[in-house]
Amino acid sequence: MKRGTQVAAFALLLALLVVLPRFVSSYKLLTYTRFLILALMAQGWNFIGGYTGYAAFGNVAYFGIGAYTTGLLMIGKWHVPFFPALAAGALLSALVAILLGLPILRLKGHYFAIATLGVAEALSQVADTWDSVTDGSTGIDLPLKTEGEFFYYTALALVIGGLALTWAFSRSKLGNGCVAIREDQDAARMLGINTTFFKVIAYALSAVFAALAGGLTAYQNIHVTPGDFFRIDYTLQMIIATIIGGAGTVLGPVLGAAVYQLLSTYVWSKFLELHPTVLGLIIVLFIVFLPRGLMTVLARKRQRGERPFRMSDLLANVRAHRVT
Amino acid sequence: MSALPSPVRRIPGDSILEARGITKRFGGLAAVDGIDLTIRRGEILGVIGPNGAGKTTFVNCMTGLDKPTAGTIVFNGQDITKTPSYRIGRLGMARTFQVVKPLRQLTVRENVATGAMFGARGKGRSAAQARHEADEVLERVGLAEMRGRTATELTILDLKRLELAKALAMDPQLLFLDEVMAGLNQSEIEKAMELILSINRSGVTLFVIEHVMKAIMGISDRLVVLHYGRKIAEGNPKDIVESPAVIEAYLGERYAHRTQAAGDVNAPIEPGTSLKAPPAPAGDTLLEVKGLASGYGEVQILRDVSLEVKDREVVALIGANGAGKTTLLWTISQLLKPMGGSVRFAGRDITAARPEEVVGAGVVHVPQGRRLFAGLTVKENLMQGVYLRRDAERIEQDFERVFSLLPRLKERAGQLAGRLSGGEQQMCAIGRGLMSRPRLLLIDELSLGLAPLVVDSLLDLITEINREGTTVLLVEQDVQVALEHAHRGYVLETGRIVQTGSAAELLDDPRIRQAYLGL
Repeated sequence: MKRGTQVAAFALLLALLVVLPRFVSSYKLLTYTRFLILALMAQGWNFIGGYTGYAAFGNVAYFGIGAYTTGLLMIGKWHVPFFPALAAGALLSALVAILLGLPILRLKGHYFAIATLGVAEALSQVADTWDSVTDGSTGIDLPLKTEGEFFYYTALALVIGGLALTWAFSRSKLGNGCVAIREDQDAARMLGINTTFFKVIAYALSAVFAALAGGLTAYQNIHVTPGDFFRIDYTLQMIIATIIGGAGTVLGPVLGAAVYQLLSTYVWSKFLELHPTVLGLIIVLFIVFLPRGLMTVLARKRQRGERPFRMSDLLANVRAHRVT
Repeated sequence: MSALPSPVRRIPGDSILEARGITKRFGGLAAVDGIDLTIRRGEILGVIGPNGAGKTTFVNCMTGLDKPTAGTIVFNGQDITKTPSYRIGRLGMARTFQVVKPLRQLTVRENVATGAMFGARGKGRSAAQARHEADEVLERVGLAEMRGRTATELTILDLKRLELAKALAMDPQLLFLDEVMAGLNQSEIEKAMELILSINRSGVTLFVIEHVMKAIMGISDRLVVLHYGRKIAEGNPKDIVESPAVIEAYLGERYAHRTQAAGDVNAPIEPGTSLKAPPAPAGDTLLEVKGLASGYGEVQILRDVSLEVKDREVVALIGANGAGKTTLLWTISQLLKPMGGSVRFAGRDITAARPEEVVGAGVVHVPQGRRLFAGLTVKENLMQGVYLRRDAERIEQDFERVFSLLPRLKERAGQLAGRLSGGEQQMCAIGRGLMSRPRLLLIDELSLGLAPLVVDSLLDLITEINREGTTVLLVEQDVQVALEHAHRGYVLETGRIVQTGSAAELLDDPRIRQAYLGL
């Protein structure tokens, strides 16, 4: 596709998304909103997991912090309006991510993944037992807001903002430095990259996105409990969406979230009882045949002189996995 | 080499880097042990030394990748001993890695641009400017045509160029090159030498680690020799390679002593050393290698190698670092598929066999660096040698045999292999090999990193194993040690067999020094 065509296609898609709420039922709109919120989380995970190559398995922690902060600020004695409360949640998440990131981002591989899992679990316990603030497992109730379009448009705006930010990140020195860390941390250090600083920034960015998604979901659900908001499912969904779409690409997380939501909805309607099994199988097939995501099929970079994607590449990917 | 421009006579500059008492310990082992070194501004300082001398660790310390256990480093008058590596890069130091470290999924251009972004002049540069800068560097190292390729698509030679380009893009004042020529052929080496000289002429001070002696002799203003983590010689390249300390480091202590006794390094050596191996049995040919070609990816290391080992013989394979000794063993045991030629064992063609079939046939490889399972006990490690055996009842007997040959292992049977000393680890590796009941034992670098006394006892062990009927092909850097315990020997130089003969003949042949030192 030429650049002009790309821009036109993108504008058309955007226009469609903007007018969408006029044409679909409020139930359908909920599904679309859910897709956008997943896209938002995946966009966040993409910074640390996709670009920087750190398998963060605890990003739901920031989803939860976002949800609780937004909710607690909106109720209680302050009655902060939604958007400032949402921003406060994002800010707090970034702060927590920086403080936690400094020690745990020194770990590599599985150790980092396990540490992030621990962080998510610990925060879940805090929410569960800090009765005076979080009301324990009963949870907190937010003011009621019923207009589905509000959530849809807010999520859409955030995702578009996320795309712009990811695009800028991918072309910046910051993004380039993070990719260098992913490819070879020792080489990155020798190339003059302050690896600790870069990793912490990428981790904080991912926390901000998760917190925004969490705050928005909290307002939409009007009820926040530890069990609902610190579920590892959220972490897994954002990782799967990013990988299906293409980790470390600008559009990948959004594309992956769309595919995931579509598959999930479709499989749900066709295989009610086997839903998780069938969905799991599809995900496995994606990982085996397209480990670097759908973006490798759609966007081979022409200036790099790469040939277009062929079906045979699917098998080549499988061979590349084989241990010899 | 006459085609090369002669190095420009440089005015001896002030010092750009001063290292004092640099020591780096890993556990109990001092990889670098109190090195004092001055690098003068504008020079090319060549650094040589056998495997395990501490060359790379020294560079790791200089560039902040490893923090020295002791010592101080002053760069351009600034103490950088505790400075993190990323900041050292910005101060004007860059390096290449011996094992190349490309940013794999990025294009060549993006790789180099990363250096330009975060290097000495990276602060004021935007990402776009850095990419532009990268193009100029790529032009300089001859990679311009590859700029759009991802690093995974490059050959090892281009990866070496890329490694250099990344470092150059950082605009260093001082550049450390760690074996950039390994695996290059003659004409490529000459091109690399020209490139290094031109980089130097553009004002970059160079610290060059290199095994290719002809190259390092041709470009260095001064030469430093490291051995067992210490600096053993420093000075004019010509004087250095002829100094006894260097010959000793490269060819082994006793060999060097004999050369010295002869007075002149080029004079023939006095005969009359005792051979330890029992007389050679006139056995049938057990291993026959014919016209073997081998290498990694597109880099060919071995060219037309032919050799044979007779039943019950001990054959030594000697040659300098990088000559292809390890590659040859890997190809014989089919861990590396040959590019051409054949390997026959006991009359059977094993050229295309799988490694486990080769082991099954009776060829067992004791690899360089031992490759023990560090988290398993000695006994468990020995057990790994019996995978292919079906004779359970005799395995117990073989444990007894290995323990009687190597009583030390019996004492340590319950200990984790990772906790053993270097010599004990080597014993354990050999023991593991013996547990497979080999007909032919391939041993790679028996003495590497071990103290002389330990080496002596290991060699006696080899003689003992041989007397009990096992054939041995021994790769060894220490010429004297290897030949004294062998019946015959082959000398490998840049991937070819250049000499062969009985152990006694080879011991007295001065040409071996040429193969090692490239004189």
